Amino acid sequence: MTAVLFRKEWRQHGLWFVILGVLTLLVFLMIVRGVNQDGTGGGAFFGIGTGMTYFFPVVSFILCHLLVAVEYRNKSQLFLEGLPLPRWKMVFVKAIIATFLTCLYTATIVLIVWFTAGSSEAISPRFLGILLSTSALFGWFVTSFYFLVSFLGRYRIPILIIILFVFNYLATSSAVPLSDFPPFALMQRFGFERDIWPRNAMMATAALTLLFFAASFTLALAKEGSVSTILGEKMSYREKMFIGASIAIGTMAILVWQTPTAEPFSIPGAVAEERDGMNVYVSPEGVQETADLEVQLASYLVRELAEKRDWLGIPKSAFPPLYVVEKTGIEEDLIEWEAVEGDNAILMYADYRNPEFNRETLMAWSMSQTLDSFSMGRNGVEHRWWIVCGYEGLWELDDATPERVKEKEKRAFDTLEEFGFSAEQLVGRAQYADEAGWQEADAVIYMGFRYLRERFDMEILQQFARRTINRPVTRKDGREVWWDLTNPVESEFEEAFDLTLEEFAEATRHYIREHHTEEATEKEEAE
Amino acid sequence: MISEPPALPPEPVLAVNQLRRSFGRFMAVDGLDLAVQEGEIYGFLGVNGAGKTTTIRMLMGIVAPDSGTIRLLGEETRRTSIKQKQSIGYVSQEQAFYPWMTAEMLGKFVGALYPTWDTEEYRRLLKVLEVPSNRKVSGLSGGMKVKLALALAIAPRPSLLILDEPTAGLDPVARREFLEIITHQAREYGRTTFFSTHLLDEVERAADRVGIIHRGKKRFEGKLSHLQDRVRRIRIDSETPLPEGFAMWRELDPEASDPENTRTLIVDADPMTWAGSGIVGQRLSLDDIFIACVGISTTRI
Repeated sequence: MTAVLFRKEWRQHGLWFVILGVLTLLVFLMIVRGVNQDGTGGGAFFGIGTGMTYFFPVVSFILCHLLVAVEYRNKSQLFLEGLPLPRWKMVFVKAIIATFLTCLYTATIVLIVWFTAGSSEAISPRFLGILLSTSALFGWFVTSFYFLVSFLGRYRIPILIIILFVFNYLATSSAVPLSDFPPFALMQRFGFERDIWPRNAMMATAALTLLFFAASFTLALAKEGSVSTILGEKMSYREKMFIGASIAIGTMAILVWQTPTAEPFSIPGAVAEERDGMNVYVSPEGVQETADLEVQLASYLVRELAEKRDWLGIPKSAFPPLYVVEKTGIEEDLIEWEAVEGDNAILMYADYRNPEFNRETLMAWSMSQTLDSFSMGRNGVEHRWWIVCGYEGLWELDDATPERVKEKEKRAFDTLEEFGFSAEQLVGRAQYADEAGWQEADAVIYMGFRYLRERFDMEILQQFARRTINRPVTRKDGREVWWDLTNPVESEFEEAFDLTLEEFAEATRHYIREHHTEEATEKEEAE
Repeated sequence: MISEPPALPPEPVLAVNQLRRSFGRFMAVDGLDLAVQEGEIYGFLGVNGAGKTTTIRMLMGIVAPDSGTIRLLGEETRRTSIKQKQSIGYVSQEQAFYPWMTAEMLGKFVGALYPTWDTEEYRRLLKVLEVPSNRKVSGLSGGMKVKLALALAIAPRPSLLILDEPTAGLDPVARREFLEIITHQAREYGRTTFFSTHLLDEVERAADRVGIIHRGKKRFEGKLSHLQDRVRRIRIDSETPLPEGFAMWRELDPEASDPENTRTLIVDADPMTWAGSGIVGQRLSLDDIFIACVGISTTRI
């Protein structure tokens, strides 16, 4: 009676079992070869551990899908139920085949690697025994898990996705040392441990495996097989929509709420200036005899940034550290910046030994990046970024030479003449930058803010800045979007300056032209 | 002179006693009694959801009864054993064969589970039923699949054949052909056959006896001709009670206003009771009796 079931499974899936076996072997050999070439592994067998952890779950999933999920999806278990055949035997035969094939695949892989590595590595029978038993046991555990999940029928994929998320979270974002726990502990020192059997991990893994198989039998036989039969039904449209939406919402929530836990960013050996709640680090490209330039630059940045910070009313604790790294070969403004993943720090690259370098520009750009970073990108959104750029222009050119200021005025005039701008373009900085160029867009908004500064008290500009761009954000979630919606920039602007954006755009156009005329008149007079 | 003891009635091949099965709060089979004699074709009639399939699944040991007993081939049991199943040929409502198997492969697979399997008979049946033996199941029509299921059920030479709505989903020609095969098998080989259906004409055509089930309870068991002798329509005065021996199955259109102050009833009584009562009831078609039996109102449709 049992033999006929084995024969049936072989006739149904035999070809797939062979194909799966061959593919598994090929992929494992590639992984082993890749790991050996990387030089990260400690011997020929280390790659097997990598393959068992990351690839074998796929093999097990396919194996259990063929043996269990296909049977229930086609409802052919209902045909078997009508035959003189106990229900448990059907599950038992599948579990035996899954176990046998898992052991066969893993043992073949280990033995082939042993055969090929035997000449270059000393392999004792004990070591080979550890390799065979731990790989087979780990594989058996993975198979038992998928065997159980396969009985969940139409819910198995969503459940696997959730489990994957949980494991990914535990592995990357939590302090749980996942690899220390069985069954993962079996793979932690796979290929390294030659003498000591990981007895405890093996026993715990075997117990978990048997538990999963027991749960599989329980699920398959529960309520006379009706539970697994109902779960095996195809998913309805409504269910698909509900589960799809739940997974999408869950994914988005995780992405929004997940707090990166990377090590704090640091540059060993950098010149540090830590004063007045400001932390600025300047690092030269090479080894310097003296660090005078770095000290001067750090000191200047601390002073200026602290002043801007206080003017904006940003709490000292919310202001991130600034790292300036010397980098030669940067074109145009000789400054670049980069996001620091997982840490709230500002990283700027600057060719600060270059005679063309301008430290005011570095200071102003660093300030803009800080405003973007500490607001978790809220200040960088299109409808708010123009305000940052406007103030940035003022900070950059306040102490600049008249030539630089004139150059900016001319750029703004040329841009106005060539492209013109509406109120939407003036405050849609990224969109306008695409059209006219980012330096051109910056020049125009700079002139707009210079007009505001000349016409209104500095206090009004300060109040406007404090109400729009000084808000520190500690978590990314819907509250900030809500705040954005309930505090529209247009209303804030109107309230502060008693100007509509259209009036502001018109005034800026006039101001740009006026200054160009003044410049032309001055030139004529000089000539 | 020693007189011979009176002959005992033959033991039924299949009998169930007070069989009950519920799914949650829904009582699918509620105290069912029935008996199928050797060699007869028993039609198990009921509307969809009456409890036919649950009863058959209990007979096949696929689900266990909550209470009651099953007497099968001389053995009493709570749940049909594997050994007993080997003496039963079963055709389920839905043919969920492995689509990649051919009829030949299926024969080998199923045959290995029955000690009495007759390969020659199986091949003969496939030929007679015109089922191609080397075509995959996925390429067979619905009618072909049912015939294949019948061949698989008959080839072990079972003592009892249980068919769960085997003709559901077949076209009228295939249905008629299938019933003829069953009737032929029963007459030719004396094979006891228990088949469920919701179609009255199938029972009329093939069954020796019939059991009507409704809401999990047996409403009638016997020959169809007896049913027509017993159940008739009468019209009586509203004030007059039913005479003794008469059981009312149904009152037709009870809320209609009748100037003559009479009631129209469908009543059940023994033919002798009918004869002795002097009441002349109107004989009904089997359709009408079945509808009255399962309590469906047609007067307001």
